[in-house]
Amino acid sequence: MSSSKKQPAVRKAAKKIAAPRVVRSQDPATADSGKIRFGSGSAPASLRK
Amino acid sequence: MTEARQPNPTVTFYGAIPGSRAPLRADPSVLGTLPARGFQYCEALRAASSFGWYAFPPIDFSLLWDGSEVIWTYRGAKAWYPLKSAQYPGFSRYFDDVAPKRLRGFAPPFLTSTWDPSLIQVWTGLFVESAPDWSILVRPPANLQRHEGYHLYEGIVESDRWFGPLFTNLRLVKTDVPIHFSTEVPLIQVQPLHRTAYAEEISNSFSLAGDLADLPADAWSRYEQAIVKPNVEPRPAGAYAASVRRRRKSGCPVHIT
Repeated sequence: MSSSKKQPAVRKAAKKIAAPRVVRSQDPATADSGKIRFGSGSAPASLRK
Repeated sequence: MTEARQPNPTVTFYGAIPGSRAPLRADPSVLGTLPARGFQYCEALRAASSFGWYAFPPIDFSLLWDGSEVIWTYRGAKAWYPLKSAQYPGFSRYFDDVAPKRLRGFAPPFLTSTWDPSLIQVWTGLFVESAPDWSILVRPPANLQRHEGYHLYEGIVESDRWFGPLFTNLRLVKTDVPIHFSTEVPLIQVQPLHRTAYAEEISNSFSLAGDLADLPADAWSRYEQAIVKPNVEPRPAGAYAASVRRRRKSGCPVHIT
C-alpha cells in the first residue's frame, strides 16, 4: 500500500508592506494659514498641541 | 456638483469645492448594504436609514495615528504629511479667486487636528443653512457599517442662525492602522430637526410606570393588537411596514390639511 502522504503546504513569505513615506515639510498644495478655526478646532490655543 | 434647487427647502447645501460629490438623499437600502429581509420588511430600519441626506468626503484621504501624532495623505499626494491643519488641495487659491476681497485668505481648512491629537475635524466641502426654526443633526450614516478604527461624534447645529462649513469630528481609536475615507462612502448623515423636537421641555417630559401591573387596560389592548394577534392569526409578512407606508401616502404628517 503506497502512502500518499500529503506534502505540507509551503507558506509563502508575507508580502512586506512598505512603511509610508512621511515628509516632515508641509505640502504646499494643502498649506493652511491657521486663520480660520471653527467647532472644536477653535478651542483655545493653549489646549492645542 | 449638480444643482437641484427647490422653493423654500428645509435645508440648503452649498458646494464649495469644485468637483466634489453632491449630497444625496439618504437611502432606505443604505446604498444596497442592508440585508434584503430588513430592506423589504422592516419599516423602522428603512425609515431611520432614509431620514435626511448623506454628505461625502470631498476627496479620498487617509489618516494614520501612531498614538502621539496623526499623519495623512490624499489621492494624488506623493507622501504622508504630519497633520496639524490642512486645506483641501489647491482650495485656498480657488477660495481667494471667488470670495469677496475682504474675505480672501480666510478659507476654511479641510482637516484640523484639535487639542487632542486623536480628535480630527473634517470639513465635507459644503456649507449649509436651514429654514427658520430648523436645526440639523449631523451624525454617522444610519445603519452603515464603518471602519472600527474611528468613532464619529454627533452634533446638533442651529443652522438657521449659524451659517458655516458642514463638518464633523472623529476620534481615531486604532493606532498604526491607516484609515481610508472614500468619496464613494458617505461620511455623515444630516437630518433636519425642528427645534421643538429637541426642546428641553420635550426631553424633560417623560414618565415611567415601573411595574408590569401598572400597565393600563389600553396598553394591554395595544400589546394584544400589535404583538399577540399577528402571532396567533395568519398575516402577511411586513404588515406593519405596509400600514406605515399606506398612512404615509395618505398625506404629509407635518402639513395636515
